[in-house]
Amino acid sequence: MTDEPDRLDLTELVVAHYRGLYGYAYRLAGSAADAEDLVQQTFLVAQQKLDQIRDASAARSWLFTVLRNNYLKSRQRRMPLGESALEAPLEEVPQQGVDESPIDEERLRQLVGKLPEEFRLVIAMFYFEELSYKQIAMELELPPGTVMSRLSRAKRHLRSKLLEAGEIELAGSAPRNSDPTTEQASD
Amino acid sequence: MNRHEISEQIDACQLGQLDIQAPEFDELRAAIAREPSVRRQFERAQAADRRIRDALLTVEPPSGFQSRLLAALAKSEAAESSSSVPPDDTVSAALQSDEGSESGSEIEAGNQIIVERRLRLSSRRGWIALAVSSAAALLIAVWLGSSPTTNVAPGDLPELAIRYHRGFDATRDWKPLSQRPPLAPARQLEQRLITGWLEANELLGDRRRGLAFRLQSPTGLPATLYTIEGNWTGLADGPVAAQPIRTGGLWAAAWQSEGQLFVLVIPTQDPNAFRQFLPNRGGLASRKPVQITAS
Repeated sequence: MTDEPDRLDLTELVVAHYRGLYGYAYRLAGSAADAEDLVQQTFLVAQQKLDQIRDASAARSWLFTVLRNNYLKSRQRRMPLGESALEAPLEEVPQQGVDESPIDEERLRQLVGKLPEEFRLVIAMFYFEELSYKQIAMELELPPGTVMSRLSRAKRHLRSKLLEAGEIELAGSAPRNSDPTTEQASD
Repeated sequence: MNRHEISEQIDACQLGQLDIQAPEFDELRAAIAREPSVRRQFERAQAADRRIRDALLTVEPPSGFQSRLLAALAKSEAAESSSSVPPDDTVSAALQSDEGSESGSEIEAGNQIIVERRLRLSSRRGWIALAVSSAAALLIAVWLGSSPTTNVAPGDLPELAIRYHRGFDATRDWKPLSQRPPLAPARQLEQRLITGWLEANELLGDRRRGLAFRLQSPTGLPATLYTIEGNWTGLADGPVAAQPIRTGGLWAAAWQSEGQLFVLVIPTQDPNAFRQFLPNRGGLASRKPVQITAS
């Protein structure tokens, strides 16, 4: 490493962000090995471009963006997304209330892993990068309405599956037939 | 805004985002203020969001991952630094055969940095490849030849065991318990669930004798218990107190007892599955007779 005075310390970046990045990578890629690779790639890029990151407060979002881009590149190399992915069933269910017990992390991992990639991606960006749907739309160069629809459908899918598995419970929700979310969302 | 649009807006709303008066949610805010049912729906959705987010963010990196990351970065840094120094003649000569080796990956300046899997960074120059591979070989040698009591952190044991487990040949004929194993299985586990044992050579990189015990829970869940002699500091005294890791579909926890190290590896992500292997205290083990293959 160089001795540039205002350069961020890579070790500090690793210590501060490797956990969050690993979680993000794991949710995106669905396997521990691929997640490790993605995080390593991300920090290697950071190592190359460390002098470009002078604002420590921006480092987190920069690292997450690099990881996401690496993931998307790797996906493009392996298997280009086809339109068929959009045809995967994402059933619509009513909004459900929830109890306060923790959700089984493994169960959720499987559910997220089975989401079509375009849905998994917006879900991961929403929760991990904490981006708004408009920011996600800008990053992915998609219409905001498409992102909003994907977010909604993906969340309802997760809720429905968690409900089926007993991971969440009804908690005074509106009757199903009066629920507004039973309309078919469109991309 | 119809109810479908309201629902989509609710799902698109980050936790707390409504509170910062984002203009795109003006209509949603109005609907929430106007209609109690929308407010309830919003609150439920936010509560579900919070729980899903918490569960999603709960991903524990593999033990030792931070160390490996830092080591990989240091190695990369060293390779990059050394690439600017011309190799001396002897090294160059020794490396002629490596010059034509296929580059596994590369880091390029600019925005198109693509790093291929597993840090195959240094092979673009043969002499760098030799330096790095030598370093890697040294690391592996240290890892394989080291005494675990001095070179492996207790927190790394479960992951090391998982790595070992993945390469362990479990297709060999397991020896019955009637053929007395040289090391005892962990007393902290239900003995009736142990169905066989095998030698486990170089378990955890240690050259001392290691054994693997095969177990099966009353529900049919398999598990492997690895053991090796030795005293460790900083390890729990049983599986309940141990700090497990879960990675790649495997659960593992290490503990020590009576001069032996034990690592239990279970193909599960259920954090409580190991309890199926605990001694019978009215739990699962007592509910169903177990087929014992050895007396």
